[in-house]
Amino acid sequence: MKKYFLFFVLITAIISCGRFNKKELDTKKDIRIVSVSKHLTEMLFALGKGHDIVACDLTSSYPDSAKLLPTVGYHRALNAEGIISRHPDIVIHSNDIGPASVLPQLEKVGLNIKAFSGANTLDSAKILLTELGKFFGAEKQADSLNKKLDNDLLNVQAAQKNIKDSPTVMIIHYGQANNVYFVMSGRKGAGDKMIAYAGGKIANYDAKGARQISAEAIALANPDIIIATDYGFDKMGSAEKFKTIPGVNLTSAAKNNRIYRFEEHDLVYFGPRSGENILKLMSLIHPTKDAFKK
Amino acid sequence: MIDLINCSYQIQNKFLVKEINCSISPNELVVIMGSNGAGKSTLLKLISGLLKVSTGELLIDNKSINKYPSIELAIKRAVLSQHYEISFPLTVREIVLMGRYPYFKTNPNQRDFDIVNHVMKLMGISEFANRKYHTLSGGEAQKVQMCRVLAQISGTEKKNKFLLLDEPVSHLDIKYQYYLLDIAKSIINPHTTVIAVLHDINLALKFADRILFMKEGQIVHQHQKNDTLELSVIKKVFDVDATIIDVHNENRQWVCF
Amino acid sequence: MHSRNKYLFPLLMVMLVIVLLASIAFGAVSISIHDMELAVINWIKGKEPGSIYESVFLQIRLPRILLCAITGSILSVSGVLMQGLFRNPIVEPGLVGTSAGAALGASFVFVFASWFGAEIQSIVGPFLVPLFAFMGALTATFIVYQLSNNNTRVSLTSLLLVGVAINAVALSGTGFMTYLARDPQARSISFWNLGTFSGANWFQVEIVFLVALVVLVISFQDAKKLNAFILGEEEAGYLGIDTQKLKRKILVINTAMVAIATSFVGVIGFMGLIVPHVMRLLVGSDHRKLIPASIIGGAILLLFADMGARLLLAPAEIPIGIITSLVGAPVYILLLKRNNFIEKKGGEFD
Repeated sequence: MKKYFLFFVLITAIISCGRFNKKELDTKKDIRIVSVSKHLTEMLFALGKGHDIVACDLTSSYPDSAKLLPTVGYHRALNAEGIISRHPDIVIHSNDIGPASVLPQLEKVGLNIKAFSGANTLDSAKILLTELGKFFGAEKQADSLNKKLDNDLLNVQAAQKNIKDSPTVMIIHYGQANNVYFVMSGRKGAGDKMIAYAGGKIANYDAKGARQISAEAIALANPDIIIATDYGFDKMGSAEKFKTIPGVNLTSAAKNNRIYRFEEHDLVYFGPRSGENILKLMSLIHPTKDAFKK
Repeated sequence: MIDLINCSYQIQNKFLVKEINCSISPNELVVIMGSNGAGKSTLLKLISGLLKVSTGELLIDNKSINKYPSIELAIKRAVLSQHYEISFPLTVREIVLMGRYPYFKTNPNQRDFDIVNHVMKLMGISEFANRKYHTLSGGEAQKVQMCRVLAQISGTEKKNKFLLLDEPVSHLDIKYQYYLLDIAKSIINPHTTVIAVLHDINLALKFADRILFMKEGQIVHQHQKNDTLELSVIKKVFDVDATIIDVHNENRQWVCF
Repeated sequence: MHSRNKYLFPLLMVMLVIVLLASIAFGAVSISIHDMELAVINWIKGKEPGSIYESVFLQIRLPRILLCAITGSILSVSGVLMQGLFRNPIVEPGLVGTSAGAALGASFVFVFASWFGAEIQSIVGPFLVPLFAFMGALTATFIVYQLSNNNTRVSLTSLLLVGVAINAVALSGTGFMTYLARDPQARSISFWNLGTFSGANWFQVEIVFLVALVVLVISFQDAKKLNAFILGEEEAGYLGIDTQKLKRKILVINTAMVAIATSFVGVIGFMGLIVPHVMRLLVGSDHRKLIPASIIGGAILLLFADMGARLLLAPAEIPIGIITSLVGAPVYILLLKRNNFIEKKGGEFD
């Protein structure tokens, strides 16, 4: 037993002091990056650093070239060795990786890890772009991306001057599992803010903190417009077919044929293309306004 | 020597066995008979120690059965039940060897192996030793179990041992019925007692030194080997009319229903 | 059969060593033997690891391999013990709810600790999680045992049906826990239901090793009694065995062993079915041989499965429960068919 105790003590000692000294990393040069956050991946590509990414997580789906990179798994089910095997110079994340043991494991072997914030609002996305630009030596690109966002917002605001009404909008992610409605709007997330920018109102529904809501709740909320994310829309095949989903079929949106398809990943975080996306949304929500037809 | 002094066994106010007074000596084969629910199996289980008497005393060699540690009891008595459900592939030899478990801690010694071989020869199953138990027929399997319980009470110590048989042959064909009971009879000696619960009165009449007839939890009649069995006893115990034939050239009776 | 035994155990040991070495050698990260040697030398000398490869070897791969091997032994012997206890070859901790109950208990306390914040979680976690896992597992197993056991026999049908019910309750309970979790980390405990060794660390290895050692030694000592139990509870009693005590003891220690392993790695099913089945074919049903054989066989099998989990989709990882299920489900079906045959023996008396 004593021998065993000694072994235990030694191991603990090693673990607590055995840290490989981190190399001084010049992040402005070309380095190997592993990104386990979808918005960070997109932003890096937009900043022109996409070629430095050697692996990303499963949810990094934009741009298409990100999908061609080796994946280290779903960001909540990672494994340390997989990440390490890509020989990253740095691992970047946005504080939502799992399981809980992975980060400590990566730290223990001395990898460079940097956490960046989320991009839930337009402002935070712009700050993040600046931060990333500074960190990775792409200030110029970050600047121009932010300028474009500002420009797009100006266009949006200009168009909004002529808009009087504010239809209610609901974003529905339909059915990974059968008939599961996941309403993405109304949770104070990025989607809500985009709708607000685009001149829409978020359709109210009694969420009761529920992750999924029922067909009845959708009917009751009765949105004027439904934004259907790509998965559910494609699964049904067309707006006509989507209209027939229970709950949806009773809404004004269905009756007035105002069901539109939108890529889900464009609605869950603010990024370089959010300006364009908001304009797109606006054209769906207020189709007859020619103020923004430029 | 087994003494039952005023033994009763009850469950929730129902007496399964009532005021049993009886002594069983070594060197005899005692059969317990009665109709269903008469208490035969219960009585046997009390004698085996599986059940504890509610009132009265059960003495084995003048010591209360409750005072025997279970290992000591295991060396003293073995029980053969009606049937066994064995869900795992075991060989015949492995099963017979289990009879010797009360005798060794982790590994059997040579004496245990010798006894196992001896009883298997006695029962005529030596050639099955390495066969899987579940490939045997009903009769052969029961022979294996008999072997096991014989191994359990085998030994050259001059201690009193007893073998309890709980309807061991009710479902077997005639050949096995007679075979098993023959063997049971043959092991009787001044240190060995056999107590069996049987269903077939004619088997009992052929093999028993004494028959205890039970009805409603009590012993209503004891029949010794050379007694003449009365029709009234059959009627009382089994509630059926019968005819008793004398088998002249064998000096015994045969009951026809 | 007897002459085979002479070479069987040494052969199994050799296989174990080979699989251990292969597991150490292969992984997402290529670690050379030289680095491994350096890692050990540096550790012995008390120096820090000299390269990332040494660190990965010492901090990630080695504890993972060891945790995997020990868990494999635990789950396999657990199958043996439960089959002995329930007197049926189609019982194992995954099927009768032991693992699911452990996952429920563990996720329960994990989620509630997360409500109080990460610090509380890290203090409370290492002790409460295995404890609640144990309680959950014990409750589940106890219910299944009570409901499916009567004096003469354990009905397989009742056993499996109650097991299905308990599994369903426990698994949905775990799902509900993840739903309640406020912390995003806690929400993603899908690993509870599919199992993974990716989070292995030395603390877990030590705990699991200690528990396994104690339980496996006790089990081996009771091997003879478990043999007798095969004849039936009454019969084992006639052979001088205290069956109530044996049942309680086996139930408790077995559940403890499984619960602790499950609380660290999640539910990994079918090990307790596959390994005892194969080992019975090789060494027979005598527990004195079956238990040691299952210890080795279980380690070998789970190490293999983990290699698959780590390498097939590298750098991503497949939850190991998926792999064991893929192999285990056919074995389960096979056993169900065979069991019909064995139960028929002696059918005439029924």
